[in-house]
Amino acid sequence: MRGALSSELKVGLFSILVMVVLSFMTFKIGGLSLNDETGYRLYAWFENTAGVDKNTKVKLAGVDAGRVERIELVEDRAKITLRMFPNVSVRSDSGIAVQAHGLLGDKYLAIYGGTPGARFLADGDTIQISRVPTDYDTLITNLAAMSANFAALGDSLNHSIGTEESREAIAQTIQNIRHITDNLNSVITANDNRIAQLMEKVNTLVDKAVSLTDSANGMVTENRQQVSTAFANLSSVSDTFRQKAPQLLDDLSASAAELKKLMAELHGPAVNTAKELEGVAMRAKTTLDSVSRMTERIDKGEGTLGKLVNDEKLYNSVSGAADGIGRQIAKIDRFKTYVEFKGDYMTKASDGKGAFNVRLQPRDDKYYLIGIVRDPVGNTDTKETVTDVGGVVTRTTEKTTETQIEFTAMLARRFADTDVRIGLIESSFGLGADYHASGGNLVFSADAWDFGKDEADSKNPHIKVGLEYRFFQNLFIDAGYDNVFNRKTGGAYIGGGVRFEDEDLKYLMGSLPSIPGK
Amino acid sequence: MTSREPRKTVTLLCPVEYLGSLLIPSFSVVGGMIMMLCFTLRYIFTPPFYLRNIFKQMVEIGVNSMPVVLITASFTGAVLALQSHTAFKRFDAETLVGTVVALSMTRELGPVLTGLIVAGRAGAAMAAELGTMRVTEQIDALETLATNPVRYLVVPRFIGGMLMLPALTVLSDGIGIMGGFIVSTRVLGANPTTYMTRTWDFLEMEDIFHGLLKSFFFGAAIALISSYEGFASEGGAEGVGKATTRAVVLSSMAILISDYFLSAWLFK
Amino acid sequence: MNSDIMIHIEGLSKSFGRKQVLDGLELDVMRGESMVVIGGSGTGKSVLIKHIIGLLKPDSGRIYVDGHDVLSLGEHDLGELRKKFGMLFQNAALFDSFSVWENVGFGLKQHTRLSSAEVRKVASEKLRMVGLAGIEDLMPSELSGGMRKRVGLARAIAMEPEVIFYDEPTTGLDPIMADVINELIVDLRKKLKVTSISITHDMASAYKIADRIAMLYKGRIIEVGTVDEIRNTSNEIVRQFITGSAVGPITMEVTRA
Ligand SMILES: Nc1ncnc2c1ncn2[C@@H]1O[C@H](COP(=O)(O)OP(=O)(O)O)[C@@H](O)[C@H]1O
Ligand SMILES: [Mg+2]
Repeated sequence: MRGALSSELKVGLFSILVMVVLSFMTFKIGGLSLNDETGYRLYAWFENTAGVDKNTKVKLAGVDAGRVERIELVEDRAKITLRMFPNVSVRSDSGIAVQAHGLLGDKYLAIYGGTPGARFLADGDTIQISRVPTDYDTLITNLAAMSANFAALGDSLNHSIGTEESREAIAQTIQNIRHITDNLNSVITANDNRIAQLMEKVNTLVDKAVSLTDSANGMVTENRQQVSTAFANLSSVSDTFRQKAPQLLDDLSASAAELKKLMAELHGPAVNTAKELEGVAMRAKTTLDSVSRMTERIDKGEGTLGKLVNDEKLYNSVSGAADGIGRQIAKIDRFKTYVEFKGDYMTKASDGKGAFNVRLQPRDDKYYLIGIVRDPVGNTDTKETVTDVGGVVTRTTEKTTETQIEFTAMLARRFADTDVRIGLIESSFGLGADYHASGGNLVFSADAWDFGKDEADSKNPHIKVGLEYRFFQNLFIDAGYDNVFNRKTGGAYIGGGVRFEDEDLKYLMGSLPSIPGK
Repeated sequence: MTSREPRKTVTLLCPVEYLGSLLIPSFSVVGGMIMMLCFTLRYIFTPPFYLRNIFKQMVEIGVNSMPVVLITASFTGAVLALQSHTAFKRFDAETLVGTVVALSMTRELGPVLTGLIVAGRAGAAMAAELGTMRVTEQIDALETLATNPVRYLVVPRFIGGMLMLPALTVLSDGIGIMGGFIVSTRVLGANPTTYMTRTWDFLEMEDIFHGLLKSFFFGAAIALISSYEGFASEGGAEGVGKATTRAVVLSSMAILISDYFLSAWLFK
Repeated sequence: MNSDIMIHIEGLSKSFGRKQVLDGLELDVMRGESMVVIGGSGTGKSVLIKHIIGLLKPDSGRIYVDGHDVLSLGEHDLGELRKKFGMLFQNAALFDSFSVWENVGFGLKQHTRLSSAEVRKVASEKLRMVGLAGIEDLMPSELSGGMRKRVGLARAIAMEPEVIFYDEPTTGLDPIMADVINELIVDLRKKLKVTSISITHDMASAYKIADRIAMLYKGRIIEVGTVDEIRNTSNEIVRQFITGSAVGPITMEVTRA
C-alpha cells in the first residue's frame, strides 16, 4: 500500500498507457474511416448483395478504391452507395461485381471492364452493369440439370439409332457429311496456296471496291479503269483456277455428287429419321440452353470460380470440370461455325441448285462465308474455232453454258439487324444484304453479282432476292426470284435446307460419350 | 431447528421447505444487491466523494491486476493464432488469422478474460476486505463516525471497477493482438504486413467499443457482487472465506451470463 | 418530553432469528449523566448500544436521542446526529488499513476542514490522553489488545462528542491502565458534560464512573439506580451479579444455557 508511488501517480501512469494503446488502435482502425467524408459517391444496383456490408471494400484493378457507404432495399433490389476515394476514376462503361477474397474470404466489390476512352463517372452517377456471384447451390443444380439433359439426349439418340433402318440412314448421312468435309478438306489443303492467293485477290478486290464506294461521287474515268482492272484480276483468278486446278474441280465434282446423294437421302428414306433428328435437335437445344445458362453463371461468378481454381486442394475436381467447361464455352463463345446444306429448285432451269456453305463467325458482328455451289446456269464459255480451209478462214464462235461448281467466299458485317456481305458470289464479285426479322427466323436477302455479265444470256448483273424461314432451330425453307434482270435465265425458286451450328455438330457427330448403340 | 415438530409434517414439507431454504436466501441476495446498486448509483452523483478511495481502488483493481491480465492476454492471443492458423490452413485462409485474433480479443476474450481475472483477483480481495471489516465491526465504526460505508467503501470500488475493467481490456486487446502477431509471424511464418493489414482493416471501432462497454458492465458487476458479499458476510473468518468464494463464483457467473446478453444486445 | 432526558428508550425489542435478545426494554439517560449498563455476557448489552446509535434496527420500540426519533431520521440527519456521538467498540474496530493516528483522526478528517498536520496533532493529543504517546504511525495490527482498545477510545473522543458509548472500556487492560481510563471517563463527564453509556463487567470500574447503574437481564432493564441504590439492592439477581456469586438465581440460567 505504501509504495514509493502514490495511488494518483500509479493511476495516472496506467491511464496514460491505456490511452496510448487505445489511441493507437483507434488510429489504426480509423485510418480507413478518416476519409469518411472525402471522395465521391457512386451508386450500383444489385439483385443479390449477400455478403456485402457497410464498409465493404471496393476495388478497382485489385486496388482499394473505396468502400460501401450504404445498402438499402429499393423495391426488390439492393441499392448500394459507394464512397470512392477522391483520386480514383471509374470509366462509365465499367461493371461492378460482388467477389470474394477466397472461398471463405470476405466479399468485396470489384469494378472491372472499363475501356479506355470512356468518360469517367462523376459524383452521383450509377454504375450500370452489376453482376451477382454464383452461389454453389445453383451451380450444382445446373450441373445436375445438365447431366440429366445429356442422359435424355443420349437416350433419344439411342432410340433413334436403335432401329436398324434409321441407324443405317444416320450412319449413311454421317458418312456422307464426313466424305464431303474430307473432300473439302483435301481440296483446301491441296489448294492452300491458291486459296490464299484467291483470298488475297479478293482482299484487293474488296479494298478496291471500298475505295470505289468511297469515291462514288467522283467516279470518273480513272476509277473506271481501276474497276476494269479489278474485273480483269478476277477473271485471271478464275482462269488460274480453271487452268491450274483440274484436281480441285474433280474433287469438287465428287463432293457435289456426295452432296447430291445426301440431299436425296435427306428427302428420301431419311424422312422418318428427320423427325427423330428434330427431336434430337430439340434435346440438343435444351442442353445448349443449360450449358449457356451455366456458362453465364460461371462467367458472372468469375471471382468465385477463380478462387475455386486457386483452392486446388479443396475443389480440385470441381474447379477442373468448371474450368474445362469454361474454357470450351469461352472458345465457342468467341468463334462460331455454321454448316449449311441447301437445295433450291430453279423453275426456269427446271433443275436443282445445291450449295454447301460454312460460315465462320469470329465475332457477333462479323463472319466469313465460304461455300461451293452447283449452278445449273453457269458461265458462258465462248469458244472461238478458227478453221483455215484452203485460205478461207472461218471463225466459229461457240457459246456453251454448262452446269458448274462455283465458289462463294464473302466477308460479312452486321449492322443491327442487317448483314452486309461482300466478296465472291458464285465465283464472281458480288454484294449482298440480309435483313433479319422475327428474331432472326425470317431473313430477307438480296444479292447482286456478275457485274461482268459473264453468265449465259446475261445482259444485266445477276440479282437475286429471296426469303428464308427458319424453323426447328436447324431447318429452313427459302423462296424467291433469281436473276431478276435477265429474262432468259431469271425465275422463281423454292427450296430448303439444314443448318447446324458447330455445337450441334459436335453433339451429333460422335463426341457424345456412352451411347450404347455405337 | 425443526426437530420438535411432528415428523410427518417434516417429511411432507421437506421438499418445499428445502426449495424455500434455497430460494429465499438467493432472492434476498438479489434484492440486497439491487438495493446496494440503487444506493451506489445515487451516491456516485451526490457528495461527499471519496476521491482518495477511488484512486486506491483504481490501483488495486487496475494497476495491480495489470501483470496477470497482460500475461494472460498475450498467451491467449498467441494460442488463438496458433489454433486458428491450424484450422484456416485447411481452407487456405491463413491470412485471416490476424482478423480472427483481433476480433476474438476485442469482442470477446479481452473483456471476458479480463473480467474473470479481475473477479478472481480484485473481486476476491474486495469481498475479503469488506467481509473482515464487517465482522470486526469496522463498517459499524465507519457509521458511528458519521461516514456512510456504502459511499466510503462500495462507491469507490464500483467506480474503480467500471473504469479499470475497460482500461485493462484495452491493454489486453492490444497485448493479445501482439501475442497473436508474434506467434503468427515468428513461429508460423505469416507475412507481418498482411497480418497487420488484415488485423486493422477488418477491425472496427465498434468491435473495440462494444468490448469495452461489456467490460464496463463486468467491472460494475464484479464490484457490486464482491462488495455485497463482503457487506453481507457474518460469522468471523469462516464467514469471510465463504463470502470471498461466493463473490468470485457469482462474479464469474455474472460475467459469463451477462456476456451472452450484452453480446446479443450490442452486436445484435 | 423532559429536556433533561438525553436518551429515552421505550419498548425496545430485538430478536436474531429465534433468539429474543431485547424484550420490551425501557431506559432513560439524563443529560450529562454517566449510565453504566451491567449484565451477563451475551445478554444484549452491545446490541442495546448499537440500537441507540442506529447501527441496528429494532423489531419494535422507540429510541429518542436529544429529542430526535433515531429510527425516523434520514441518512443526512442521522449522520449529523452521529457527529455528536462517539463509540468505543468492544473489540476496538480499528481500521486495518489506516495507521493509528489516521484511525484516531478519521472523524476529523471526514467532517472538519483541518489539514492532515492539524488532524495528526489532535490525534496525538487524544492518544496521550489514553496513555499512548508516540505510536501515531503504527498500524493497528502492530498493537496489543489493550492498546487497540485505547486507540479506539481515543478515536471515540476525538470529535469531542456530546454522547459517548463505551463498550467494555477496561476489559483486557491491566488494573492501572484500567484506572487511567476510568479517570478519563470521569474527567470527560465532569469537564465536558458528556452523556455516556458504558458497558462493563468490572464492578470497580462501574462504581467509579457511574452516576447510575442499570442491570440488563433477559432482555429488560430489571433495575436502575444510583451506585448506592444498586449496592444496597434487594433484587437477588442484581445482588448476585454485583457480588459475582456463582450461587443465586442466575446460576440456573447459566447452567441451563
Ligand atoms: N448481528 C447479530 N446477528 C445475530 N445474533 C447477534 C448479532 N449481534 C448479537 N447477536 C446475539 O445477541 C446476543 C447479545 O449479544 P451482545 O449484545 O453482543 O452481548 P453482550 O451483552 O455480551 O454485549 C448474543 O447471543 C449474540 O449472539
Ligand atoms: Mg458486548
